[in-house]
Amino acid sequence: MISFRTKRFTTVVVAVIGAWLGAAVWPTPAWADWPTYAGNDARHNASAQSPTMPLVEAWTWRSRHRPKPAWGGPAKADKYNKPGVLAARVAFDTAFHVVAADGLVFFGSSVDDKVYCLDATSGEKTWQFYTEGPVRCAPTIANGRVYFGSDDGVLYCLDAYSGKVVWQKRVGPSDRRVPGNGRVISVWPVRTGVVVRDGLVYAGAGVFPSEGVHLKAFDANDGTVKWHTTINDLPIQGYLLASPTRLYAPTGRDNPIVFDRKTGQRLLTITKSQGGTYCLLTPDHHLVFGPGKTGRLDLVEQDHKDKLATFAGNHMIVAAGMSYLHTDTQLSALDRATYLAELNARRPLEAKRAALGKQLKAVAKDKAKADPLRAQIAALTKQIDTHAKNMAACLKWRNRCGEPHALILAGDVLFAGGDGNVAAYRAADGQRVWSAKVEGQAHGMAFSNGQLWVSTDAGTIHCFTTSKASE
Amino acid sequence: MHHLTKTVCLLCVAFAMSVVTDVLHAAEPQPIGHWLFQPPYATAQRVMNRVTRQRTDVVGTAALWQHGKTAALILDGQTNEIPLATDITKAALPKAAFTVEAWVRLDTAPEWGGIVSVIQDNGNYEKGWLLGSRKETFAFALSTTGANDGDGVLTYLTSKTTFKKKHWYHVVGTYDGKTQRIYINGKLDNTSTVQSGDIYYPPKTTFTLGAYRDDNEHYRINGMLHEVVILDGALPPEVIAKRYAAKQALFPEPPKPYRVAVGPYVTFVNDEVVKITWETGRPGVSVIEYGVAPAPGSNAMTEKREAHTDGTTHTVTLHAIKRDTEYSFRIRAKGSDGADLVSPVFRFDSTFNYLPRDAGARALIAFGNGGLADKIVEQTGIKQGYGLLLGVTEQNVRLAYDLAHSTDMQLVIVEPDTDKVAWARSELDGRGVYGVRVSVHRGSLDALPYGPYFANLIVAQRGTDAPPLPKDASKLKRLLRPLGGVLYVTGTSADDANQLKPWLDAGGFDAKHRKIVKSSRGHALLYIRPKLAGSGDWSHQYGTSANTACSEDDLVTGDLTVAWWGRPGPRPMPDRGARNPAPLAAGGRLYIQGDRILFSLDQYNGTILWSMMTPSLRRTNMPRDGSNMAAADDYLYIVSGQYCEGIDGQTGRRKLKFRVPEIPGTPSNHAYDWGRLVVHGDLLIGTAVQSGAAYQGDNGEWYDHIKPNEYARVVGRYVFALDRHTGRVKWIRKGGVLIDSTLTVTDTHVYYIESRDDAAIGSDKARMTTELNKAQHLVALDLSTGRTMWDKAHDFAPATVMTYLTFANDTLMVTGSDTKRIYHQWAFDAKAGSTLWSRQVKDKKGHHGGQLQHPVVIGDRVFVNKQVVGLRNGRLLQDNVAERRGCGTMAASKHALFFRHYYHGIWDLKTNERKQFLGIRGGCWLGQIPAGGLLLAPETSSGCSCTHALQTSVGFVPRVRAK
Repeated sequence: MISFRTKRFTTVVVAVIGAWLGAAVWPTPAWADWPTYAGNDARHNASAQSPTMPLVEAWTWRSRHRPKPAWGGPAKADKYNKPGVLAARVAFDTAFHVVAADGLVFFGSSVDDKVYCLDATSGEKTWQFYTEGPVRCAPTIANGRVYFGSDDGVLYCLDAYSGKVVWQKRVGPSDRRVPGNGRVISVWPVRTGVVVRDGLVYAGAGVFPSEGVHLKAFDANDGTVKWHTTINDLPIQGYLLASPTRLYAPTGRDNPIVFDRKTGQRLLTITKSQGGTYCLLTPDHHLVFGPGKTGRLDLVEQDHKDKLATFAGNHMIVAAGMSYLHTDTQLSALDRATYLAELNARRPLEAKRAALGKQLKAVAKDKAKADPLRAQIAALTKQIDTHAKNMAACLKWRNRCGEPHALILAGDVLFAGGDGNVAAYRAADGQRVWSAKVEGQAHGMAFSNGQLWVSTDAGTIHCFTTSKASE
Repeated sequence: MHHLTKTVCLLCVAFAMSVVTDVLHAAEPQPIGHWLFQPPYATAQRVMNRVTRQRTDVVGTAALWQHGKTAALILDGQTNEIPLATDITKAALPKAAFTVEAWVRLDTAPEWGGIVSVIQDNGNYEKGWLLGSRKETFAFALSTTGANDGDGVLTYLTSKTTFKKKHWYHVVGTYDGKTQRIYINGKLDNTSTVQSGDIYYPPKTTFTLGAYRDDNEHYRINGMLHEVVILDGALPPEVIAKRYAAKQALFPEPPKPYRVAVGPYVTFVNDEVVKITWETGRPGVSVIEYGVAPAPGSNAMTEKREAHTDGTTHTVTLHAIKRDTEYSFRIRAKGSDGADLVSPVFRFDSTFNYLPRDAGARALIAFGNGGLADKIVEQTGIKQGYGLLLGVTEQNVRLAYDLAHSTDMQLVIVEPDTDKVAWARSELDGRGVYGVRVSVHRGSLDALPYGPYFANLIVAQRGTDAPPLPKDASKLKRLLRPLGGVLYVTGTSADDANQLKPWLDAGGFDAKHRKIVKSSRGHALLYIRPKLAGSGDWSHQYGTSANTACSEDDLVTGDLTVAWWGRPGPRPMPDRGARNPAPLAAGGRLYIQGDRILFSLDQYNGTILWSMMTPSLRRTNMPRDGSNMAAADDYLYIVSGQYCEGIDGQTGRRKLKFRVPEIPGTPSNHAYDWGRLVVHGDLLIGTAVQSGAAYQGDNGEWYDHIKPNEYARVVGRYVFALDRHTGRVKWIRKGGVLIDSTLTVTDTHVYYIESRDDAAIGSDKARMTTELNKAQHLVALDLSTGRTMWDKAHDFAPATVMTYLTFANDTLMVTGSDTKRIYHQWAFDAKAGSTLWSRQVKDKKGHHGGQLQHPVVIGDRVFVNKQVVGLRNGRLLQDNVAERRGCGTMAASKHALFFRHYYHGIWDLKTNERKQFLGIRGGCWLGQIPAGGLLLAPETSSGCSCTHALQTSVGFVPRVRAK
């Protein structure tokens, strides 16, 4: 008998694969660097490079103080609806997330208000830059420049090698500052991870819709504002995402908003989902986000408001041919192509069965008419069950995973962040192949040029590299 | 398979079968499902069906209880459940005759509970079966084809035996095709012959353990489950008796209770150390057992500490407390007869450590100049909140560093010069305080960008190396917190003070509140900002002791902007639904009652002044009770069982403790808890209620249903007044049984409604419904003496669902609704008790607490049930009040009403316009309070399934003052 968890997983995956019918050819990742949060502005959390295992710790950077996230955890329970343990829907600054480019590592601090640049090999500090408020999101590196926002309400552009200011712009309408969770910060803090694309920098500022929330596109060279959209119903917080034509903004407990990237026009807001700041875009520009109320990821097709499918899980990696799902306790892989074929075959059968079901309802008391319909339905059900069985077989592997906090893919290895450790699983079969201790819960990871950086809620950044490189 | 493993498995199977079969024989019913929540068949995460070997995950984080070799799964009533199958067509279920047997302990007695559930009970659609509970009885529900009326009929066979909470029971339901039986502890308890034939299952439902679950109901049980067995026939009585006898000795009787009179209170000493304090009625040695425990009663209480006992006060300090971790603890002691005494299990959560970040040890090489910092703290008494230092000077940078060490303040230095800013940042960062405790902002002192009221302390410097003061002093004053915020100008000589006079006068720093004091270096000018003229307090559940739900605040308008935001967020707060006590604000402080945690905040900037975990502090269902908190300018008073405690509002020290006074000449009244709590002037007015009267609301209750168990009103047995500083009893008045929610206190009178019906008086119930409806009187007592001023017999019986009493403008108004959702209002002249008017109106909202609204009185207007009427004449003034969503009730300033709409809602009386703060909302009663010139909106939406983007506490200020 299929277990409860397995059943749910199967059901949602069936629906999701439907969304990938006719999906675009998967682009081959070729990122040598990890220049922005999650590796690229679709937030794939994937690198084409494979690590040379095993990894050993090369250096560790420790903050004097632990990170101080913008928001505390979720409620302990929804006692009325009793859905189970509630997930943290607004969690984008639990650790000092790292980006890397050109032999340098960058991150911001939510506790000492600085952006740091370290030498990737040695972990030595190259430069640091003071802002006037907590820096909650990792910078984005582009063309030798570092772009990031701060709770002081300002978007900064620095020279990546010297840390000198190239330009800086206030994103909100004024410099008004008030106490915000124990700090004196802007009423319009910049709490979005910025996107740099096609010569533009996208950033948002503002927490309270009643004060106005501002999304702007700046010229990457000089900070000139190219467009400006004001939102009056939702905040913008977490890492922005970009497709060739769209800009996606997570909002927190609520659902993401979609904008036209060229004009800033608000196109739509996702509805009927349960929010969350963990987001990614699939290659065919479907938005996946969560963790919703209890740890699920919803998939929404481009230009659709409603979700197409739901996954049980907190993280997802979408890679060529395979998808990897990460729940609180499990890691799994799905053969998408085969699944897709089975789903294609099953869908019309389901539609036909549903239509027959309606007919049957109308003639249920007329045995002569009802019996042939029942026979047809039974036959269809048999076929559908066969496809379902085949689809279940597409679940290539599933393994227990005790590292629930973060997931990235580096070539043929999945790295999962745990409580006091980080572990590697073979993408091919889910076998756990490596583990190392870290200080605190590993909420952030980045991989570039054979180096793995792990950021924890203790304010520690661990750099792991191949044992050979370390020697 | 490895030989050893194989052997172990065979042994396991043999053992497993032995337990089931030792009292069964081949011809008797055989198990088709057997779940034993005991290793090796179960862990806290997973359980195996010993018949099918199928394993099922436990939902949520659970724990195993262990007593000797016996174990059980602890079910928290909220998250834990074992869903065996969502497609019951594939589940192994009995078809006709069957037995369902369970060893269970229930810790609560909600209306519905499920031990084993495979049921649908939706209106007339009644199918499947259930072994569970209904209130304090066990229940075996069954639907069969023989009793089918088209869509099924369930017979809920309840036990005649009522169960005791936290006791173990053997509960068995049997059905032989004709007769349905329920057995308790081996004995037949009840029988029904309504059902016959095969079991009538629904096509779809969830087959689950630990919950009652169908399409529209889902009730998880709070307690423990040791074993569940389902057999394919009805066991005979003698076998059931044997099965009970075989296991009954495995389960211990609960020990005698250790009674805590006051507390316990849990406070943080530092990040790793907590102090737990409680008081008892009698002195004695006690021990705390504690540990990281996912569920109450689990065996994770791995540590023990003996309490330090000083008479009846007990204190334990626990070390090495982990971050962000929930702990359970209980207290053990020996009774005078040597018997073990054990307290209930309490919890504390180290996530709720709100101490500020440590600034770290002082640098080895002295950097600061502690003299000035110490002097400022000594002269101002300010140790918390925000400090603003004007200009980067050596003195200010050192002062900021010292204040960061010697106080809990967050400091900001503002300076226009880029180089000076860089130097200050470098110095402070090098010493580990930059950002986390001290910030340096670059900007002009003449264009300070900060919001109003945020600074508890502003330090300016006079002297040659000091930056010039801001040209416009009023722009500085607007930043200063009212009610004690201090401007401290160092280096002020007497001559200088004269020179500053025009600047101070022009800025509104009135002479009455300023003085010259000796400082560490010469003199300093000190200005203390007084209370904002026109601001009001929210000292009681409905604003004032007169229950008007209006603070009379003349500053808070309907046009507001954010003044501050921050903690507490949703995690420490109670679930939003249970009609929780309102936050209070008085003396510049905001008091928030979380889920057994209490907060005091600086209402002007959101600084958490103190927090205290109080596992016994809980009261809900405010429409049928009164709050367990009331505030004066200096103290917050809270109820703790039989006591009222006075807590210093600024420091959180528990300084006063008063017990419910006994009526002289009557037997000891120790059983009475403190009920209502009202502070007025120097008096504390309270009621005595039966122990356990307060609704706890821990199981998702909403108290919106018009059912007696939800609308029963808490009743007081007598009313009394004490001196709020000394506890000296001023008067006690005992008459009938008073409806606690009606206690209303004015400058001269105490008013309430009571029933003098003998049946009500003779009843020992703590809450009553129709018992209160006879012989009702509206009573007016003299506040200072407790003497009756007038007494009016009046029938308020229609006000059954709730009963409110409000006083304003010499008018007493009674508001209540009946079970048909009709509002009834009666108004009386407060001086003589003569009737002014009465009216009846159908609940105009019709859902989400529409029938429960508390009236709001602003001037001569009464706002309730989407209408506005004249207070003195009852005339309808406005009948077109816009729809208001949500389940809360309203609060008001003189200029606007505040409530939960889709989001935080405002009804601006100036424009008659409804507005919202989008993205953020409150809970299901009264959560936004206008006081002190601000609208204070602590996070109260906790647990809400809705996707509003933000969950945080916010202070809003009139926009005109933020400019």
